[in-house]
Formats: sequence, C-alpha cells, structure tokens
Amino acid sequence: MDFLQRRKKYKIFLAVVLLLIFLNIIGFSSFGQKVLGGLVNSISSSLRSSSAKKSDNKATKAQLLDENTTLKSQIESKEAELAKFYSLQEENEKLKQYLNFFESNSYDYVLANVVWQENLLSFSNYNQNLIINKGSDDGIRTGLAVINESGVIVGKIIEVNNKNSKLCLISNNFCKMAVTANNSDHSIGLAEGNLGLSIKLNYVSQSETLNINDMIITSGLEPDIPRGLAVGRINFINQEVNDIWQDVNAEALFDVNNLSIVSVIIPK
Amino acid sequence: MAKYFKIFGFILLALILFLIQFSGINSWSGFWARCDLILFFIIWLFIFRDFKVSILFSFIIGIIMDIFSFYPFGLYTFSFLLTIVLANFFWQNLFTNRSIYSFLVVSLFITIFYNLFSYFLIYLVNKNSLGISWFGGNFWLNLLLEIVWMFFGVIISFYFLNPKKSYLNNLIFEKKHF
Repeated sequence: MDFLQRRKKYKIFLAVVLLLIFLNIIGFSSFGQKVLGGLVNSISSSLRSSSAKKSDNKATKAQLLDENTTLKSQIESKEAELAKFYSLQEENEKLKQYLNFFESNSYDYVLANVVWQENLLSFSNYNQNLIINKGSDDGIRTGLAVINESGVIVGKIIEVNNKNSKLCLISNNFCKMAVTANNSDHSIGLAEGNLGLSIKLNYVSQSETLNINDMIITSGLEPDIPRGLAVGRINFINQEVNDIWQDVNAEALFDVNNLSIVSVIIPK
Repeated sequence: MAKYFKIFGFILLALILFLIQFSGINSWSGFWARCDLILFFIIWLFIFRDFKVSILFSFIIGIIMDIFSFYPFGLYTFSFLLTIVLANFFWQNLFTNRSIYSFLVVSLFITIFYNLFSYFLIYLVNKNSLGISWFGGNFWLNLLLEIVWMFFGVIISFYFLNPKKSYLNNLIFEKKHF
C-alpha cells in the first residue's frame, strides 16, 4: 500500500514536470506576464524605490559630514568645469553656424522604472542585475545602453522579455562597453566592471597619455550605443614598464540605490 | 469549496511574498539582502505543516517566479519541487526523530540543494551564463549567510511559530508523522 502511494507521488511529480514543459512550449510565461505584468510592475517599482531609499539612509552623522565636505569641493570643481563648458558651448554654436552644421538626433528614449533586482549569490547586493518594466513590446532589445536622469551610462540590456528587461550594471565584471577617454589622444579601450566597485579600462597602450579626472565616454563603436555618453571618471592609473597595457580604473558616476527611473536609448 | 479558497489564498500569499522578496529584500544591503523569504516559507511549511501543502505552495510560487524570470519556464518550479520531494524522502527514511537538530539539518539540506541545483540549471540553460560564477568567493559567502538566516528562522519558528508542538514536546525522540 505504501509502495502504491509512493508510485502515485512519483506519477504526480512526473505529470507536473510534463506540464511545465508543455507550458514552456506554448509560451505560458508571456501570457502570464500579460495578465500579471501591469499589476506586479506597478507595485514592484514603488516598493523597490521606497526600500532602496530606506537601505540608503543608514549613514552615520560623521559619514554625512564627510560626504557634505566632499560634495562641496565637488560643486566648486563642477562650477569651474561648467564655466569651461559654457565657453565651449558658445564656441560650438559659432562653429555650427559657420559650417551650417546640422546634427539629426537619430535616437529615441524609452523611460522605464526599475522594478526589482536579481539576488544572484555570486554578486554582492550593490552589483546585481536590475529588472526594468519595459520589454520587447516597447522596442527594447539586447545590447542597448541604459542611462540615468543625468545622462550617465548605468549599464546595458542583456536579456529581454515581453514586459521586462534585464540590465547589467557597468560596474559588473561581465558588463563590457567600448569607450574612449576624454584625453588629448582620445584613447580607445574596453570598459568592464571591477568587482562591482569601479570600472576598469582595458587595452589602453602605454604610449597613450591619460590623466586622473579624465572622463570616459562611449566610443560609438558599438552599433546600438551612441558616442559621447558619460561612463566614468578616471581615478587610478598605473603604468608598469614591462606591461603592454596600462592599468586604468575609473569611478562610476551613479549610485545604484538612487536608480528608480532610467532611460533606454533606442537607435531609430 | 474550502479547497479552492485555500489555493486562491496561496496564490495571493505567493504574489505578496514574491513582491516583498524581489522588490523589497533584494534591494536591501549586506546581510539583510541574503534573507530568502520564499525559500524560508517553503521550509516552514514543509517542517511545521505538511509535505503536500509545501508542494502545493512550491508549485504556485515557482510558477509565479518562472513567469517573471528570464530563464526557461519551469526552472524555478522544477527546482523547488525536486528539492521538496528529495527533502521528504530523507525526512521519511533517514531521520528518526523530530527534534530541532533534525529540522536544522533538513533546512540546511533544502537551502544548499535548492541553491546549487537552481544555479546549476541556470548555468546549463543560460546562453551566456552572465553573472553565474561558482568560485568568485561571493557565491559561497552569500550561501553561508543565507544558511545563517534559515537557521535563525527555523529556531525562532520552532520555539515561537510552531503550530503543532508545544515547548515541552521538544525532547520527543521517536519518529512521528505530522
């Protein structure tokens, strides 16, 4: 009797496995996403943004004071940079007029909410892939760049569903992007995450001159990613005599806890 | 009719747990982010309620996770079901008593087997296996933290959230079917 009961259990288990395979074949997940997607995405985005903010509010007074000082000094340097940019902008306007330059904007933007993040064991929690509430139905496909509200590159789309997409953060080890530095040589390299903490700039030869605080921007060598999007700022350079490439690190210009709304750049 | 209400209640509960886990807990930092509420609830149902109830809940939550996952449909459901079926097999055949130690060992088995098995499946089926690294250091450390959470949860449940046993029954060492 016990044996028969056990056989029944195995039969049910087998039936469930077959059912799963059948549901996979008929595309049940896309049907399920259509039914539950809207509801789950709307609740998820508000829940995530509130919980991400809460987890970010754990800084001590000393840390906040420290951060305040750093931010003040950053504002000062930004103001200097801004003044420089204004003069450059003016110069650019004039040059455009001279050359009768017309630049057509050949990119669309899709705004998306970050609804949740993965919890893979192989990553620390600030380095997990993020899920946004826009998918292939909204024209999103793999390889597209994702930016935050300041126009800084956050990551890249790596997987797409009908209603959701998964993006890897640029500070992730396996997230790679073709970039160029804002130096006099316009050095080209490959940016990849460095343990989720910073961005590593690979394949920059020893002959190139890089400086601390040089910006890294997208190079436009990837077909779906436009040139000129800010990726990071160089904060470490090491040139060993016997090495072929320089050892360059950059800091990411975004905070993962503040990511609630992002834009996906879609080429027209 | 009560049976259908129970299933509907489980679907609702699974959806709530899914939202809390994926949108809430996953975005917390450090040790807190390693709390796997879904797996813990399945373990709780398996240990303190019933095998059939835990199977039913595993099936429902697995389907919901599969709907929103980027992996082939059925991966999470299959992982949950196989874990619970195997845990039940060991529970029935290897464990001679129902003490806290048995519960901890079963929860340890479920946590380790589920994580390793689901990771193995993801590693097999994911085209580029992005983010799946077994020997990165983080993997085993995070698994350890998850086990610590499970142990903590099981101990708390055993003494305070145990619907079938009173505190004085803790030292019963004969085999008992719940």
